[in-house]
Amino acid sequence: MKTMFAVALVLLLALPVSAAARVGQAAPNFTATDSYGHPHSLAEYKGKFVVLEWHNHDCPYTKKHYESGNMQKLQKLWTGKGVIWFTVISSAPGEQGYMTAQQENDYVKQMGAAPTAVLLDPSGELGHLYEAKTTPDMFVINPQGKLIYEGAIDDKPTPEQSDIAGAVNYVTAALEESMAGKPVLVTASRPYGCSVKYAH
Amino acid sequence: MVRWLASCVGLLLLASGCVRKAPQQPAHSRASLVVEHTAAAPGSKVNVGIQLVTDSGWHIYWQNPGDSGEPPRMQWQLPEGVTAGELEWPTPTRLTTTAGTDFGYQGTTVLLSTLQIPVAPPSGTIRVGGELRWLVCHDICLPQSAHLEAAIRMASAASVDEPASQLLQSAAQRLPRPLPARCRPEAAESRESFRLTLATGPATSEPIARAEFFPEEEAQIDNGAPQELTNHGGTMSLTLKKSEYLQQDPKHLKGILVLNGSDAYLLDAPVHGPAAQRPATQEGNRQR
Repeated sequence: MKTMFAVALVLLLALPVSAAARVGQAAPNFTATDSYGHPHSLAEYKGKFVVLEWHNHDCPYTKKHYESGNMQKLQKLWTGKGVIWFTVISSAPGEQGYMTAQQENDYVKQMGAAPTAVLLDPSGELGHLYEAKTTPDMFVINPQGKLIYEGAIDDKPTPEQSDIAGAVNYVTAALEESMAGKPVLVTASRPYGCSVKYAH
Repeated sequence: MVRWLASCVGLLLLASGCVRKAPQQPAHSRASLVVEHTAAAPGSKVNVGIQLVTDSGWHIYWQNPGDSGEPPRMQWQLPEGVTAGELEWPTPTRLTTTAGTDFGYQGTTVLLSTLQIPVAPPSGTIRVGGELRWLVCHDICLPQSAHLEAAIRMASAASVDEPASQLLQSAAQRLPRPLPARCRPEAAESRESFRLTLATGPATSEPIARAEFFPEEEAQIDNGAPQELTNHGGTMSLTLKKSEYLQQDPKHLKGILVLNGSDAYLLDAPVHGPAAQRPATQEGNRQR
């Protein structure tokens, strides 16, 4: 009886923690619609690595990685190796970075971006579920559905393109280490960039 | 120039974005270099300040920007032999954004430094300054940069620029002071938090009704989490929730401690593991 009570207490305490995205725990499942109107749920990609990239095309830190071609290069490299890459836009209508489906599809073409899909999240539901803070804010989920990295794209928190060359890319490191069966060395870092422009 | 004009006309037609995008036009904040002396003697020190002024509603960042943002960075360009000391930062304020909790400043901010003039400086007038990069934010953020420069005449005796000197002195008075060593700050580390403990008597004779800690390093504590204050005799404790991004416990917790909303101290507390801090019986009870 005492044990059952203790178990129940542990479960109660554990619940609020497991609801949010935490490194080392199961990534929360979601269903979201992409810029072509197709629904995607995390559960359907079990068995694959999944990257979530929070995006705001007008944010200077996002621009750093797109105008340099760095983000597109990463998207091509990793989707080429079977990784599912979702760009997520959580800007609310009227806020910086908000895109209609058509605007986003034009942007992806114009920039030569190559994510698996762009998930439109104007309500901020997906952003709040993962507690995405900045653009970019990066999440890496392993084939077992566990969150293995959360945070900055790299270790140079500036808007200058010249800093990309010497930076350690944490997303690449997490994917490489995990694919090689090694433990991920840096599992979390403070994300840098603009605050996500959620609905007020 | 012609190309720039052409692109501007194009932009004007498209989005009337020309003025906003024009180069060398700092938006929503202005930076300047304030130098205490118009003339300085060989081997002397010259106090300088980087003054940043934001428009109403806009802010810049402290050395630890918090959950988003970026601190101002100065890349000094100085004549040979002249060196600049580390920047000294005034106490920031907490700014709540959609990203969480940031640390920064609104209005006028002065970051202080000291230039060391060599014993055998170049003769005549030297130019000191550098490239300042900073981020100014409201709902959106704009990266800014400016070249700051000032002239100092080399002379046998110093000559003070009075308004500059007064501005720098009042900025220096607003800097956090070192916490008296007799306060003996310590931080006890546990799974979820750091418990910062210190004797308050050497710092203030007032009872501690409020205390706020600003961590110097990013990703150490949860910036938005409440900091729980307890007083016991002449000792105060502040419980600081660990950051979800903390990868390794620091050996020291450094930052600014503000007592009762006004007394700001620079604090450096060694971090101890929980075993060293808690009585064995209490630890034993916790394990069961």
